Amino acid sequence: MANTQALVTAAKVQFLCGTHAFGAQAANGTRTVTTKDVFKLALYLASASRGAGDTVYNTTGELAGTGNYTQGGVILTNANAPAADGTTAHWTPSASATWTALTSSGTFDAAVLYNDSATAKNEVSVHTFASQSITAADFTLTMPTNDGTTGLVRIA
Amino acid sequence: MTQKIIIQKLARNGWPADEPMTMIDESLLIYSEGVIDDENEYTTWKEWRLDGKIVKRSAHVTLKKNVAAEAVAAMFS
Repeated sequence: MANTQALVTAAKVQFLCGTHAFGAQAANGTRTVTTKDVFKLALYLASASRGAGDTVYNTTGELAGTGNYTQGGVILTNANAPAADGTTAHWTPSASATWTALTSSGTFDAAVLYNDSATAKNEVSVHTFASQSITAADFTLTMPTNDGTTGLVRIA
Repeated sequence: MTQKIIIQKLARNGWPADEPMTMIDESLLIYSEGVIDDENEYTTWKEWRLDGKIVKRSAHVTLKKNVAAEAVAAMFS
């Protein structure tokens, strides 16, 4: 099996339900929640099979919690409010994700974005890259340009 | 002038396994680096080997093109 880059199908449904607050919501007559959620990024082994059919974050295929990796991943810095670029809405974390002094438990090629504020830890997307193995050093994942063409999560 | 860097210990060199960090003169290691540049990512990596085995490897992945959903508003017909 392999990891496949995808905006998971369950998240598309959840977008319609207002499950994920990438930016602060406006209160309305029914809903009072106005804070944005906390999103995390976790790393997955190349042997895992994360993809569009995922629903929630779990440790299946995630790097082991060794070598300075903590299962669950890292909190993403979110100073970017969702925005529109032409007719495409987009959102991208505002800073890189870095794992310091990491020794990965194996070769990995995917990062999973999920909503850590959600009780179920709903998964949003899977992002793949060439396989990497890190030994006693840093791994940095720099975010793409936050626009309608390359933003990390886009709705066209 | 030699520079010491942090590397992964190797049990085969007499260091305890699962004790990942130690310092060593960089001049004792073989260094290589590389780049991956395609439509999905721009990645740079650096690695240091001791006796042919990787003892330090870092990577910096910059994602280029990511996931999108298509939003559709249906037409009444």
